[in-house]
Amino acid sequence: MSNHSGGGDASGSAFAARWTHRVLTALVSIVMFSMMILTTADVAGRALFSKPIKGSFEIVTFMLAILIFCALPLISWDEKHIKVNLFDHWVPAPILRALNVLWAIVMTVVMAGITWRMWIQGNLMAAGQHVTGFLEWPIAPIVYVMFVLSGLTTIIFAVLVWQKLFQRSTPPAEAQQISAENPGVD
Amino acid sequence: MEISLIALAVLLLLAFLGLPLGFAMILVGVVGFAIVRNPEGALAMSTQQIVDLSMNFEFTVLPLFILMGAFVHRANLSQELYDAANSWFGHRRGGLAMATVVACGGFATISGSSLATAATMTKVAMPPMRRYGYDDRLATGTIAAGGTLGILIPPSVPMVIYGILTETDIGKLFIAGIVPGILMILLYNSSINAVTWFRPEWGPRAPRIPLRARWPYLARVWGVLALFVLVIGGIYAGIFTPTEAASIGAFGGMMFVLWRRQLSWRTLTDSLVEAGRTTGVIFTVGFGALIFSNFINIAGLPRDLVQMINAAQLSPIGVILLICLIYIVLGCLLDSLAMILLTVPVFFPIVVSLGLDPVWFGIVVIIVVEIGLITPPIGLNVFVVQSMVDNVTLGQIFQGISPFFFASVVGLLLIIYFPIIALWLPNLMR
Repeated sequence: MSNHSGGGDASGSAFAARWTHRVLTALVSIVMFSMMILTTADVAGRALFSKPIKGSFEIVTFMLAILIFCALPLISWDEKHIKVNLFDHWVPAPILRALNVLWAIVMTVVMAGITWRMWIQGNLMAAGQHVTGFLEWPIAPIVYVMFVLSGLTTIIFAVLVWQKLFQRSTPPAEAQQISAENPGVD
Repeated sequence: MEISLIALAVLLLLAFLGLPLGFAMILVGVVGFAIVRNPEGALAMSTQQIVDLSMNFEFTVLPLFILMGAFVHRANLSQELYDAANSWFGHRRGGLAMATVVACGGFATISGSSLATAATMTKVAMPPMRRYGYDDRLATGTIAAGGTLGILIPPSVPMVIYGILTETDIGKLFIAGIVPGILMILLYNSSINAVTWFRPEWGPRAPRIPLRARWPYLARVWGVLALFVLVIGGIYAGIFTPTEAASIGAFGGMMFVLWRRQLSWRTLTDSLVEAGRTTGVIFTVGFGALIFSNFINIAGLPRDLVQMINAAQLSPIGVILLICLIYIVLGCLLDSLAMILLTVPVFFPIVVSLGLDPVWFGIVVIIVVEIGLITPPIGLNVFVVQSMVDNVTLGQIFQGISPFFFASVVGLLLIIYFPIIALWLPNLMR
């Protein structure tokens, strides 16, 4: 899956990158699947046996947060964030390259900021002993999970900066293409 | 006012220079908020937005509907839909094109995406139209335009996003899209009729299928109908919340693939991963949109705009027409999601202050976004069709689109002047 594992990487870091990619992809599909099954079971249980699964909506809500933040490193690594590439063909190649480096730096900084704030938020929630309304599950652990995955995304952006600066390999053209294969958004 | 306009300009500049949209909105939103209030407040506000958006039960509707789309996309239902529509329309002048529009409408009842609808229908509708000697311009234009029905007829991913941004009832939005969707099918087919009236050689007739032979074709699409009735009907009748309907839809979509013996381990994981990743992409821009709209709200942009409108003594309809005009221009530059995320936070407070219906405005937004999907230079539906058809230029497709563009504008004006078209069904809901 990973488009960046080639090039001049030391084999150790390429290995780590590949496995991180695999584990996160597996996590995304497991969480997505569980969300579907849990909500369906809840509706079916309520409609057919008038026995909803207690607190399922709180579990699903936690799953949503985990799903989003597991996907975040993946889409960042594959550079699939939504962008306007209207003028890419007009901008001279060297300037485009410089801009891409600049944007990777900006995204690293923004993501580092989010990571830092998630840590603070997690601490706040842990100190305030915030729990969910029904199951009374503590919220802080989920925020810490968001913190860890934001941190991972920050590292990925930093690696992208490094790659764009020092590696000759051009980013995969496939990442820019509008393809019919992943048409979920519009 | 000045600061929000400067911020808007900076945001557009960053976006056009290639900074991914979500990050551009987060950056500008946080910095702007920090200038208007203070840095600590800006950071606290944006953290809160990210955590709240990620942990909101209502929004689980989004990944589940995307998953439903991912499954049905892989179930290859489009051939049956096309055959069924064809058996009824094929023998007319331009009939294969009309059948394409109707089949697009049918596919839209289980798909929330225009690009998926256009891509799927290209595969099944293009070969027969070529075989019967349809003009490429008419054939490709029809598919690209018909594809836009994907987001007007429920379920619809952009409607969910509009609902999230504006806290509008997603169920009502869905139901409100049904009648306008049918209206658009009629308008598109009228324009096919008009085109082939002037140029009969563009859309020759296919052989007539006897009436009795048509029903079996229709019977084969019962599954699509059943899923639509279950999901959207369930919302309409108040049996399901949109989230519950979405989970049933996703599960039903998976059963569909299973029933058609196309469920492999690969199809399953591909659908799940696609849905999860798309969710991540959308929520990233969602974070940005909410942070940015918080900033322009405290900077007073919506309030100032409303004052300007009052000072200029524009009528509500005048304002809506102006907004639509801005949308159509922006639609030439931005893709649909970017457009909704950037503009709805600015325009929505104006619409509310004028006392207009949020559900109705949602439908108006979806239709202008549809128009954006087929207008040059950035018409994503057109790109999809072009990438899948041999020997057709973008210019030809855009040429073929033009009658449909006018049909869409007529539809838009009808819905603006007669809001009841959109609001009739949702008003009947409990």
